[in-house]
Amino acid sequence: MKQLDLPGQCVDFFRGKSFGRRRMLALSYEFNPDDFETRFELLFRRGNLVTDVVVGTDGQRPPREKYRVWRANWRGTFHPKLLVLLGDQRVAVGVGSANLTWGGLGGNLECWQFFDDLKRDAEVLGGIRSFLLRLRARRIISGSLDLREFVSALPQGSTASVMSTLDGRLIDLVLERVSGTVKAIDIVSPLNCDPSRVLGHLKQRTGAAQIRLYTGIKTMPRIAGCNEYWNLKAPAGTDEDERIAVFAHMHAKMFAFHTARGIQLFWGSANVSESAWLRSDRKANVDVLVRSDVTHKQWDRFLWSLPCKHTWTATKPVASAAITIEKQEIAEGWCLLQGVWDGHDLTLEASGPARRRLWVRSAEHRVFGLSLEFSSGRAAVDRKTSERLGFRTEQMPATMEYRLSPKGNWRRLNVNCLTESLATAGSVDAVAELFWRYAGRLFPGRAGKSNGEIPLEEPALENQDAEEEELTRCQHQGSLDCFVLQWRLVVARILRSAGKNHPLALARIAEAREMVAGEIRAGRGGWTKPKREFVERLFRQAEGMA
Amino acid sequence: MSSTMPSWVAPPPVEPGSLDPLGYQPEVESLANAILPGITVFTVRARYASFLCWAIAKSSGNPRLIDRLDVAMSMGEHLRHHGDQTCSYLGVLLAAQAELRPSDPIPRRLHTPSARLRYMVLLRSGGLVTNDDVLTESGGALAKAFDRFCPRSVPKRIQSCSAMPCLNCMSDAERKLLWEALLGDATPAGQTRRRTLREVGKPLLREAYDRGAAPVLRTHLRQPPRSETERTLHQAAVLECEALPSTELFYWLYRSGDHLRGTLPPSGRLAVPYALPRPGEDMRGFRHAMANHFACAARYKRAPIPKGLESLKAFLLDRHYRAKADGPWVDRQWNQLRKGLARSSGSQLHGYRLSQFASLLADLGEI
Repeated sequence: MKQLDLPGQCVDFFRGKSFGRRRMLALSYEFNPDDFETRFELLFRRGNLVTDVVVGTDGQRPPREKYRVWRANWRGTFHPKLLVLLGDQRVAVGVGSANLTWGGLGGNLECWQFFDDLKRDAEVLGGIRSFLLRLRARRIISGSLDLREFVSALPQGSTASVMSTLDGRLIDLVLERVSGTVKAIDIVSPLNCDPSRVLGHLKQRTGAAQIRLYTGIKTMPRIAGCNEYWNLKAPAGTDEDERIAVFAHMHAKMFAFHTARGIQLFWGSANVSESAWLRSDRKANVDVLVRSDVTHKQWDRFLWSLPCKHTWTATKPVASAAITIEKQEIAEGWCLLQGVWDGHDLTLEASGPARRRLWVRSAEHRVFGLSLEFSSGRAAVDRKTSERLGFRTEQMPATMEYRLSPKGNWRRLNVNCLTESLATAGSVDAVAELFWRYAGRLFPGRAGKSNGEIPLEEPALENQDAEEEELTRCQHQGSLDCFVLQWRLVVARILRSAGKNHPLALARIAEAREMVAGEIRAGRGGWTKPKREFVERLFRQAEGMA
Repeated sequence: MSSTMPSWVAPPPVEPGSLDPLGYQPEVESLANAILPGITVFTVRARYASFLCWAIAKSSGNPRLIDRLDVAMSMGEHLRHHGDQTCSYLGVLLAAQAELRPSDPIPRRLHTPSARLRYMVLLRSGGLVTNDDVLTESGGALAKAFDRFCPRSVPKRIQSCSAMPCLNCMSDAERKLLWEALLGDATPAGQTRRRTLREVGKPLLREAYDRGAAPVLRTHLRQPPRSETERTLHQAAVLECEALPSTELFYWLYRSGDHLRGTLPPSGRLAVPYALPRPGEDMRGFRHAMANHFACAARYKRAPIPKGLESLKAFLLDRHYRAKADGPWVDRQWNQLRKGLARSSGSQLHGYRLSQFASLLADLGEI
């Protein structure tokens, strides 16, 4: 059975789209920047990819590549594993059990699938759209992380194929969708707590006569309600010519309900645990499951064709064996989540509203006390302090240090830069930023302050827009002509990048309009009244065309 | 990209050159070539030589057709043995996974590298084919002997593959021809192999067949060499005294980082050569065994290994950087530069192709 190369699929998705809009949103419980950057190296090497990673755990080192890491604001375990890829107007969603760690990216036994067909996969894509909206509405994902593009690119409609704990108890959501008499349930899941209650509920409510557990554990514990135990077994030896990987853990999560008509399969990020299946409050896991209908033969074939010659072996449980209980991450009270630098202002984001005094430390170990009002969980740091901390127009540190009491431990806080362009912030205005987003390069003649990673080579002349060609030729014309040409070009690029997806075009125009408004408010860019009117007219025309 | 079912996530690629991080392989290869020319780690079934001679004759040397016949051979074995691995034919697991029906056509590919690529060196060294892979007279005779067991027409569907012969059964005439090719006087390689068989002896080779190269190397470590073969095996045994603990220590440092301090303990007598505790489980025992192995290697004229752990680590890094100059796995501070350095699951001792040779001899009924 064909196996899925997770980073390879992402590279394939973006292949041949080097000059268009490219974004990747990843949701993961655990995150290891080293492994992520190593396995996705090909994507980062090509540049012009805007990547946001939302994680459920703290303590990673700051990214070395150009991407942003956001801490999810959730007291329980933020546990979904999701990838959303956006290339111009094309969108693909990957769902499964894999974290963005070495284990998740192939070191463990994991399940995963990508969905990208707007018609055939409409239910899954629509369900993920709804899940993203729910994350935003409940403020689990930072408001500074712009999800509008993803939401606009994903189709609306039925969401019946995707279930998340944000919609209610997973057991209720799943059993609502299971039709027919359930004869048996196959559960493929790691064991990190006693799942007896979950199994009891499933057995009682479905009337299933048999529950078979497929897991990977050294000593199999006896679990009430479980009838058969299967353990993952690595191959005993290898031929000298074959190098066979041995999985570190069994980490896939799948729940197969056997009915007379076939298998109703639910798979994704939820372990067989109470916090995933039986809770829906703030201490529940955030988990996602996808539903697939498959035949008995398909399921058996899939379950028994494990990669790298691994097999399942029937195992007798040992009554005295204990399950290593994974500590559930319950955030303790109020905490800072991340900093956000928009090129001019530094904002701190916290887990909730509060009025706090905190101490921050610069790279030169100078300490400053701050009194901040976190209304809606956000507070702006004054310009003077942010400059002292090293945040200037031209540059920004990737982290800052803070503590919540004068003698408390120093903690590191990631700071994300909202400016997407790889040019230094000082050289970027709204039009240059937008051209970078949708063309993947800087305007001709304005690439002076790059850090060397930008694909500065121009596309071949025959591939250039007529307008762009004119722009290239007229670099030395007056600034007003240049302004007009640049904005017309940017708006044309925005329209082209959205293709026939009207909501996406409207979302991108709205975003561009906000950037202009931000510049005008900040008094940057020399926005005279005629210029404002011209650009606004362009936006309105584009909205009409979209 | 889409499918309604989930898929298993493929494991990360194991990069080429991940084995043998200290670069002992070239030395090992040259010693193995001296005693067992033409044998490779792939050549374990004698009858593949007969099969290939027959396939070359049948296909007029067309490599694609030879590979198709190779797949038909494996499918025949699969139908005969139902995935049982006792016959150890190529593609034993892949044939089971393919789940083909009897009416299906024979798949174009099953295993890579194919038997043609794995065994052609053996055929050349046995004088069965020329350097241009054309059958010689003895190769033609072997093809004829094999042909007696083969169907008249080339199988096209799975069900007709069962007519292909089994690797376990050969006639006396075919066995005699194979013996001549592998151990006969007609080629220098055959002479060398027969000398190795005579000087190592059938009992030790039988042990090598069951347990790998360790018993042969242990015997020749302290035994004064009297012939060229014994001298080569002694050199191999001494080399392993250095290579085995060094490589084991390198893997441990790669996984755990630079957490090893102090010096090696004073060396004593090497009671059981090549028996090393795992450093992760018993570091004290490992250090003692390592010191004894290094002392033994030095006693038999290998360049002495530094006794201080810092200089030992520097020695390992130097070897590693020489062996993997284009892509080292650790930096000078033992921080991992790349993940996924694979350590084979079996013994870390080099095999010197002894067990493969023993396997061929077992097929010929010699051991």
